[in-house]
Amino acid sequence: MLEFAKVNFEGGGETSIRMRDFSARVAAGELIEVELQRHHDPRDLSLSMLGLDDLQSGAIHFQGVDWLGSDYAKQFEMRSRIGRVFAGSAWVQSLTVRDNLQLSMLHHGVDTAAAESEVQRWVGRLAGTQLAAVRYSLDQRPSVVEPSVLQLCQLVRAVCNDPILLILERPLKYMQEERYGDFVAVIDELRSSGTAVLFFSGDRDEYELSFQSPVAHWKVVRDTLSTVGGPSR
Amino acid sequence: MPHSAAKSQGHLRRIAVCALGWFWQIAASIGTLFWDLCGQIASIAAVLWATIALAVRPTTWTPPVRAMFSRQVLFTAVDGIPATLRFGAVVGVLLIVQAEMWIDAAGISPEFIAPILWRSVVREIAPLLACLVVIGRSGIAISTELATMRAGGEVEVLDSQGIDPMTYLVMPRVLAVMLSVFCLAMIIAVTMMVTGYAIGVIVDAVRTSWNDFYGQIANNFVAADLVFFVSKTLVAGGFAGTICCLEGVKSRGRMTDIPRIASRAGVRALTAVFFVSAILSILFYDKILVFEFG
Repeated sequence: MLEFAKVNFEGGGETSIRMRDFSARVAAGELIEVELQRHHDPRDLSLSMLGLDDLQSGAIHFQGVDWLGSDYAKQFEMRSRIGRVFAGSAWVQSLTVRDNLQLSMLHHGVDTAAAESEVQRWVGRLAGTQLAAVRYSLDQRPSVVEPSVLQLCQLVRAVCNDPILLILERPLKYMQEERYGDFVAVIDELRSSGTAVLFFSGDRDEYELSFQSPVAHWKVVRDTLSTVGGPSR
Repeated sequence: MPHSAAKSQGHLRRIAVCALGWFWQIAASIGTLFWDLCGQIASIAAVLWATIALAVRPTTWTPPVRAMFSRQVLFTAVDGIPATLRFGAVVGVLLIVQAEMWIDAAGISPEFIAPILWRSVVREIAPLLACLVVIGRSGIAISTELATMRAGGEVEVLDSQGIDPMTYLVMPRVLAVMLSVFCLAMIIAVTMMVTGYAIGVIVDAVRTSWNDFYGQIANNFVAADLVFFVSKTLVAGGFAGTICCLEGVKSRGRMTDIPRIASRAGVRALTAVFFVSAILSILFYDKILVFEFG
């Protein structure tokens, strides 16, 4: 699925997470939790996994294909199969939330009715008591939507259209605690259908999540990603 | 005495070394400027080529790309019509007053001045004026919007979802600017002629009927006018759109840079439009001013 081969990556900022001779493999259905400290910004690291940030050395393969190739159309197609919850800015501000949610699907050949039904299905699964707020927000611009609703919408966008890989950067930030159960259920369901999940969690001491076993743990030691696991939960 | 000669020789040598140093520094600066310019022209040509290559591929035109193109045409062409009409009307009046002045001063008949007037409007003034309107209204807005998107991480959001920013952000905008310049230039040409005639009749500067006036224009219309008009509007519009988009997406992602980027995009697009317009005129007429090539 996603394979790292002796990757050296520095990132662009002081809070970026680095990789030093990092080799690892994320298999289908696997959940890997990376526990972040408060100051860590996983954005650069995610970009490198998507082939959008240069590595100093090594290679990252997604479904056996190196991001370094020159078949850009294929690379964009591959990225469309990766769902991502962004830490920080996540929206095209000139579009409504609905347009944002459907943008990638419509661009990659899903018809409007199917895209709308996919959005409604996942909104129904994830929104719970916030369903009315989420539905109302779909026709608003992201800048005027409440953060907990936006975070749910981000999750909806990430899980729409059967992603092969999910990269979740602090997905529970701003999310109401009552929604955690639905979040875990959805992640487990996607894993059972073969989606690999890379979960960058933050402030993990403040909440408990019980995903289906097995859950692998990677750690960030001195701002560097390591496959040596943390405590299992 | 020999000591003072040696001293003055040393002094001269120091001046020569210093002058040589300055010369190399100036040469290096000119060389850097030249290579920068070559690099910029190469980037513009590459983006224009990529735009055309993407535009002719039917698979590029996904619903979001079509929506983006329509929105940009609406903003650049349709919303720009009132401003275009105003500019066209004012320049039309100026032009007819000038024409009348030259008819009186040179003592020639309107039949001689009509073709010159028509050709200068269709071949030079209307395309240039349309470019000015589009750059002022939309070009600067495009570069600001793209620079803001880059600074706000929106370009990264698109990229991460497998949406090529060139296909979704740049190509529809460049095409929309090209199309808008073409359409607005037509509106300007017509407005200039109509207002010019109307004002001319009111102030008794034009003494022919509308049918005769229109007939003179129609008789003076040749196929070359169309070639000039289409190529000037599309090429100059393409350059203007590309420069504004490039300035926006090339920004380093800082909000504080955006005002500077917007003003730089406007100035560079205007400069390019004047250059392109001049170069196309030279190519078409095969002349630089009065000097004929070949």
